[in-house]
Amino acid sequence: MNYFLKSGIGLVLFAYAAFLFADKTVFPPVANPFTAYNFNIQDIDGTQYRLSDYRGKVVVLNFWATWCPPCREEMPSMNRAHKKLANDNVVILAINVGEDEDTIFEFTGNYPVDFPLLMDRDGTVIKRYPVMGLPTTYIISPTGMVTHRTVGGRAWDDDVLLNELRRMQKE
Amino acid sequence: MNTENNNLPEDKQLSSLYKQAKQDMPPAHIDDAILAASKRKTSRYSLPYAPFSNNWRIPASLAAVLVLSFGVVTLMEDELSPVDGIMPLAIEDTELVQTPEQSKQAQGANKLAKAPMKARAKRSPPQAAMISESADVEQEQLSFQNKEIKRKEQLVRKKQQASQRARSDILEQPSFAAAMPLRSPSTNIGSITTGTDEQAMLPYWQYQDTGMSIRLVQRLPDQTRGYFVARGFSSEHAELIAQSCVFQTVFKNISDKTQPSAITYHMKNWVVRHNGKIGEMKTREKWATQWQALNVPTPAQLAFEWSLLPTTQDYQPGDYNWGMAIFNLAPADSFTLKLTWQQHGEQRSVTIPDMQCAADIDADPEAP
Repeated sequence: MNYFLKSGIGLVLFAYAAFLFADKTVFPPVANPFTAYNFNIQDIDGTQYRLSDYRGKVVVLNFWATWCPPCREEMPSMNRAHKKLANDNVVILAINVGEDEDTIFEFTGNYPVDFPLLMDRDGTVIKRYPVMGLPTTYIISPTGMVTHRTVGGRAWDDDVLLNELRRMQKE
Repeated sequence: MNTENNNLPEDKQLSSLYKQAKQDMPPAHIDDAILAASKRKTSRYSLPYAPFSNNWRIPASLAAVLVLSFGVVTLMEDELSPVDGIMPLAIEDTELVQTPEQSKQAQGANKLAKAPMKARAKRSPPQAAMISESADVEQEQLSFQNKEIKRKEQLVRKKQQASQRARSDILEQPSFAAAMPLRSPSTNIGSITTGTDEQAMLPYWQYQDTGMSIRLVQRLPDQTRGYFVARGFSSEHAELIAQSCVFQTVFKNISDKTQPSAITYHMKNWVVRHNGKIGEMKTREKWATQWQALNVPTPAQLAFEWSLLPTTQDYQPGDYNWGMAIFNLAPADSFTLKLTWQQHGEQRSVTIPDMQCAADIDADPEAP
């Protein structure tokens, strides 16, 4: 009797846990993975960044603007994620769309950011990705393929998301 | 306490039996028999199966705890932002049913225009998030607006009152909650609500079902002017946008809580009805042609393009966009909007009645 009771409780708890975590879609996959456009653009300090320099690493590529409320909202969590992923071969790059250095610099006064803030002033880079609205974030595999996409802000420092990025890096 | 005097006959009989015994202790076989009988009585495993015995208490308690936990967690998830299935940010979402105090706020929506712009920009961060795009601009233009604001107070009040009268009485009735269901769509799977957005302090219209949510909040023409002038548009060009009926829109795929399913929409399928005529949204592509013809600077065009709600978009569960929706109508025009989208393998639509573009303030304070 004790055995059946314990087994039953165990099964119920397992089913309950499975229910709680089953619907946590971490990153929606793109329907057809494609090769990431190899941009070569500057950050606000004039440093040149080329995507292909990050082969072998998972790249979180975020398109944003300072006037976009969800973009601003997710930036602090993205910065925390950047720090937590420092030793995991996962990098975060944020591409600002259409704004100048001064505007972005002013933004960083209120939202300190430690990862590269790149500038796509004329919209050349964003047009090479199927972005429809901001913020949009792509996950690029170590082989340079765009595999996942999120539209709208996320809490990037959540452990579930961080672990998923680490898992992608090890794949 | 018993005494010799009040002993019962049975007691005397028992005493005599004890006196007849050769020793104080009962015989071993009697002792064993008593012990065995007591064991039979106390051992619950020796009893036949009894469905209403004490055995059910522990599992029933555990089951009750599980059911309660499940209920609480489910309720908590329902109260979270609809996109939190993918660990979203705590995007502020106005309650659909508001308190009487909030209802009073709805009545006070027309006070917005005379509220000092800087004061609105000083709200707490979540509140400021939605309006801060305009607040940034507003601060830049503060000195100018402070001069203008007093002159415009009376005119704003008059305009807003006139606008409210034309707004199917939604905001003027004290008993009408700030958020009130208008009617259910034909499929009866969602609800339409309207009221006053807590952050923008302007009227909103919202549709929500188990898979999708769209919220359209009025933008004052002045907000739109300021926003686009600060992003490189000339006053003349910004005026074209400001006079075209702009709504701040939030479109969310909230299906991750029920049956995860992607959403696809295209604005070309959305129908705007105004004064018996059918129109359509003015999309970023239509504007782009106009901006190119007018030689609007590229950064301004980019800011415009990405400020608008996407013309077409697919949202995975948990995805969402904020953006301006432009209806190509005049300030204070009323209209009906029919939204169409695909989800769960079928086309869905809902008609939101009695929407209204924000009224404009009069540029000329001396005008009647």
